[in-house]
Amino acid sequence: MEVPWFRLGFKRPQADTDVNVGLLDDVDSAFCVPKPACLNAFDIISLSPGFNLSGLFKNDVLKQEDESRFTSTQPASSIMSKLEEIASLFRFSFKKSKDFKVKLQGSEQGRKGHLSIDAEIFEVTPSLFVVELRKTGGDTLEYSKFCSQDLRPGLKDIVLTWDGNRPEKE
Amino acid sequence: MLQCLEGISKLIDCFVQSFDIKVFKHVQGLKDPETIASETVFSVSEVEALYELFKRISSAVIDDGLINKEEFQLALFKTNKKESLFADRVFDLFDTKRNGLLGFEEFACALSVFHPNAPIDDKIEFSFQLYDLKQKGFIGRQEVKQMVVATLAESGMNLSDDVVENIIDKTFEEADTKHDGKIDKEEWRSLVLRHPSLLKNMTLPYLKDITTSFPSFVFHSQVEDT
Repeated sequence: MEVPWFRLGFKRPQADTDVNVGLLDDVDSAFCVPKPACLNAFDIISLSPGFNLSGLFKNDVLKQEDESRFTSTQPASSIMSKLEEIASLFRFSFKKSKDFKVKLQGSEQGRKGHLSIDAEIFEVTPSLFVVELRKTGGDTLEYSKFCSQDLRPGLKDIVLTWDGNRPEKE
Repeated sequence: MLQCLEGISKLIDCFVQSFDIKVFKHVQGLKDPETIASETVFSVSEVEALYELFKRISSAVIDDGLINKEEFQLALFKTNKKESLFADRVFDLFDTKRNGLLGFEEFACALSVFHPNAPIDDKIEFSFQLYDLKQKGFIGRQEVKQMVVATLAESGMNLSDDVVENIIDKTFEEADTKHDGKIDKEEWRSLVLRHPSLLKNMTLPYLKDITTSFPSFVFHSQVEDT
């Protein structure tokens, strides 16, 4: 792999689990009104960092940056459109499924392959939604950079608050 | 031959105890990984790896072989400046001896419930007790509200009281099938079986790889003679 000519035309393979998402989309949207999954009180409670013991095993708080959340008062469909807009702006591929899940994949090869992000929209109340963002592939530092320089500014218009669990930079 | 070895080991134990030197505390600390392994879902080597983690956490503030609340917070949040209703509650549930300190056995037995292989009933039981803040045997509306408000505050989300009440109404509508204003163990169980994601915090995948993350270098000469 160190030899450059060997890498010509090489694309790091990516496991793609939702291959048939597109087909089901069309069938279902013809018959039922899609609605994002609802969060109940206990879902909200389980978002608390105090209930998440995985911190015990981590040395580095920075590693928790792989996942973040924001709230929005915009309807789920507007949030989806906004994500699609950002995807095309930064040349990410955009795949959505009927249960308000979105997969974004960067077109550029980063240090550890393409950056891929999953987003999922949940309803808290009919006028409040939570979007969960999770890095599913690629380099963590590149993901952090993309979030702070591109994604967050891009989402500014629709975001109410960002999850305050981001690590404090000392 | 075995009896001879046992005799010598007992002699060494007495010798060590009579000195009561701190340095021996760690060597002597994990006397029976087999006992703890038999009380939990962990294997003996996993217990030893867990002990490495325990040693690290328990020596952070006071090096006494026990985890106090401050050390627990430090381990969870990497800062002892963060107060958390939930971390307190988790600590209290771990602290079965009720002395404000976690010994290794308490630590291992509690973490055992979070192992991916632990029985789901144990996870359901633990989470129920976690949310039963007043320890009355049921989860009341006030308790749920307190926890929701605390979580929202922690994440910087401030929702109006109306919205919070609305969320709790919907939750109780679904969970409180007996319509008595509280969620008992049975109702909690059926709620969780309908929404398995509610138990996601009850499983720590890290526990499966613990022997690689925290290698221990204890050699067994007497564990398995086969």
